[in-house]
Amino acid sequence: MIAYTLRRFFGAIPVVFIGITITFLIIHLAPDDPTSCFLTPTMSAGSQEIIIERFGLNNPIYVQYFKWLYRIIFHFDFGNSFNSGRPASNIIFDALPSTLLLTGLSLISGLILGTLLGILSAIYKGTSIDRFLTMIMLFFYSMPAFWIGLMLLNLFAFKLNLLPASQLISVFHDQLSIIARILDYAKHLILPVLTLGLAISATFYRYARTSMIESLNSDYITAAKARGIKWREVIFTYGLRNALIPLISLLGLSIPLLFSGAVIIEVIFSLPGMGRVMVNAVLSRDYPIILAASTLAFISVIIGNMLADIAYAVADPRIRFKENYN
Amino acid sequence: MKKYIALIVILTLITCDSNRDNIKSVGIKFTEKDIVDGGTLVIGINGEPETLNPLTALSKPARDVISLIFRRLADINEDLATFSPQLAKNWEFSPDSLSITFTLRTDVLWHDGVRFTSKDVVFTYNMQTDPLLAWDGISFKESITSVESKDDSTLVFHFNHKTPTMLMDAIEGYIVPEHLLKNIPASKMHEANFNRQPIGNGPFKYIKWKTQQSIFLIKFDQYYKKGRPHLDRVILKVIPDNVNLFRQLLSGEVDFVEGILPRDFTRLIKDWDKGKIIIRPISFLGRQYDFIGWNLICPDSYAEALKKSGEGEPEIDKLLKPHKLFGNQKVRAALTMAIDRETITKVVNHGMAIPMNGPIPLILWAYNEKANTVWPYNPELAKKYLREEGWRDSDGDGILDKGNTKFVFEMITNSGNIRREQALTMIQEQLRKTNVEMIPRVVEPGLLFGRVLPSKNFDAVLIGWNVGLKTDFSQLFHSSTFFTPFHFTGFYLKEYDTLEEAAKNSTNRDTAQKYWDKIAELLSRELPYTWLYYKLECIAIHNRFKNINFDKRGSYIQIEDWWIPKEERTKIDKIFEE
Repeated sequence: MIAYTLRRFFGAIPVVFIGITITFLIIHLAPDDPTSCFLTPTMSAGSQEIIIERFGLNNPIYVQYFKWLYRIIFHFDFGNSFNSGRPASNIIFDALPSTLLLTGLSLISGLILGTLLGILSAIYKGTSIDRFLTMIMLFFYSMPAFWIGLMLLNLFAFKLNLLPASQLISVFHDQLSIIARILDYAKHLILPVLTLGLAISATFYRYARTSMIESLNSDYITAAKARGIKWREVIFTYGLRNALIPLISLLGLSIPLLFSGAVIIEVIFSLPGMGRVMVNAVLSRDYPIILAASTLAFISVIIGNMLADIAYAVADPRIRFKENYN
Repeated sequence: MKKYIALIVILTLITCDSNRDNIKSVGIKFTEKDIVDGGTLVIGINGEPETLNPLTALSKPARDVISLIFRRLADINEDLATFSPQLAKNWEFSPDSLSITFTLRTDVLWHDGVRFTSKDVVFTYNMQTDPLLAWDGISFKESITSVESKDDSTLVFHFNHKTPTMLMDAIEGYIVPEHLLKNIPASKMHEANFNRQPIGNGPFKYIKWKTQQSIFLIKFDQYYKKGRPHLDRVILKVIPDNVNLFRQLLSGEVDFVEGILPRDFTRLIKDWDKGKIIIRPISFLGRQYDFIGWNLICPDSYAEALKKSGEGEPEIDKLLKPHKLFGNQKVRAALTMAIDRETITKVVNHGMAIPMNGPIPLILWAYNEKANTVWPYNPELAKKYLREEGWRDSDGDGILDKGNTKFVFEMITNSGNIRREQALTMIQEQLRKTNVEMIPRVVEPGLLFGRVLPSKNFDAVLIGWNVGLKTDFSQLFHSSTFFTPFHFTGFYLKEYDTLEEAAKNSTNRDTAQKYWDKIAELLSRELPYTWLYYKLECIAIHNRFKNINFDKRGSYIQIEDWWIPKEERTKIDKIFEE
């Protein structure tokens, strides 16, 4: 198992390297000019050259690339933001906890909700419960997350005035007691987590339902039933365990979707996080931030997939045996 | 012309109406004795400041927050001609008018307790003029040769020649503390820790910055204006989405918002007039206008000229060829007359703008509407002008042509601005009536300002400018800036250069006014731009704030004077008081 994990880990390194190299080239070959955001008519004529030099854009692209790569590998330095002058890594690490909180909670809630409803739907396949759940989940699957977010925002924040419309905490958060602070976080996170969680749950629902139906139609389930094993045991011990295996892969594949979903949700709910950092960086041509955020996205997606593969191997011994045999 | 005057009058009435509860005119009356200190102001801003250092700030949110933390030597007054002392007690021109001696206040402290002195001003000037900093206000300092500290409270600004804006040039820019920044070279200033933990000398002191969420400022108890500010706290809440920002204003989560969309603002006025809301809408002449910039130069000849200029070619203007469509003044005039600017102004701005006829922004002292050459909407005359220039629909396809050239062109605007995109569509429709085919194109701002405009590789562009408080068009139209990014129309005229130099060097305002009038007449006749509309600033504030005043200088200018009656304080005021 350790050998398998190490193989997967070292196999991921060239993928990250190729990914960030492509991102670097795309950004630097784009036909716009990052210095244009920093020029005003009241500046002197030579300001543009000074800004170009400050950003290191006066060097040929290959020199910029190797300098950038050297700084990352040997100093873990992604450069300073063009916009604020702060180290890109500081900006990313400031924003990361909020995004992890949002995506983590959304993933957990979406996974639990989607899987449970999917199993329920599979058990009651063809009944009105199944049809009702499928209809509801199809709705959430087809609706864009931003639309769901706006509707929830409109209803709960503006019409009913029950929940805050934006940000992760209230402006008076530091004045609150510890319990009140936790509640403050919870109040602010309900709508964004619900929005992202519903979108995720719809995906998990579809997979869980299909997988569970397949599992329940398998020969080993028929055999278990024939041996007189209790219905509940057949479902949860034999059916469910096998039905959950494909969901592990889905979990790994959901990470990029979570990141892209978080971008929209963070903008709609004005949440601090990686999504907003990336959007602002792209709009202001802040190359160091774009590259640092992309690198992190690449790494997290690859780690997510790697973990899913490992979990898959743990859950299904055939995988690791096959790997070992190979 | 009469229509425009009538429109201005109507808009002024709207403005007064929406401003009806301003304490100086209508609403509650109070005396100095009624004013009580305390309370919190939550301002909603739609972008996070990139820095809080006046030397490196560029964005509006950054400048706004900085204006609460830092102070200048003096502030310009509402008339944009006279000045009020701030860090300087007074000032005096030398007999030859080539220097100004400032006497500084001796009771000003930085927020860390260190005394403010003339050394801070000298340090600030040296930083501002250091080319490696690339400070965006450096054009103000061009005529200043040096700044000399005589003693802690006296300093002298020396100028190389007399101009009418010497005082404005001297006071431009907030003063920064020398004792905290002297070890940071100009080239590293944009990376300084100070940028996120500023120490100023203004009415509010920086406390904390929650990234992407909010910035907290509190009253500076040792502020040099005794009894100010009245508010205990200012919180700037970052909400990047304009719709969300407006909704939070209505729900009371924020107290004060600028830049409300005209559509929302007109709704707010209606609700306020009916007494449905406690959010007071206020509008006034803002600092932005939109225009169409015509490319006067053939892009290929410009590229050639640019190359030759780098090789030291002396007679560049001989290399430049006029643009096939807009190199002709009569064609630009025809297109200006073919565009119904009044309707565009009304529709895209929901009435919250004023049609514009000339180059000088409405808020500047040099503005004189009578000086502008006005091209009223007249499609028939536009067609006649084009016919006279040889443009006819010879093949009957509904589009004018001349020889092998069809009158088809692209008009570009930047993405992310709904008003401009809407205006572009309206202009397309209107030009079609004169058999001119305009193809609208929306381009990402980085590409537009970074590549398309500087290379003059376009036909026409619809964008806008922010207005500075100094009348200066040298970066836009003077031949000395011909190859710089903001001079994208390719306009050059010796007559203009002479007039602008004369206007900028006139020490007498009446004489300067005559030159600016001539400039306005010339540019509105030559039409390198077709000016579209001047926007009104639309803001709204919770009614519990008193003694509020806004004008063209901005919305943050007098926040130190705002106060909240005790009985009107809300939950947030009370939470912080506890």
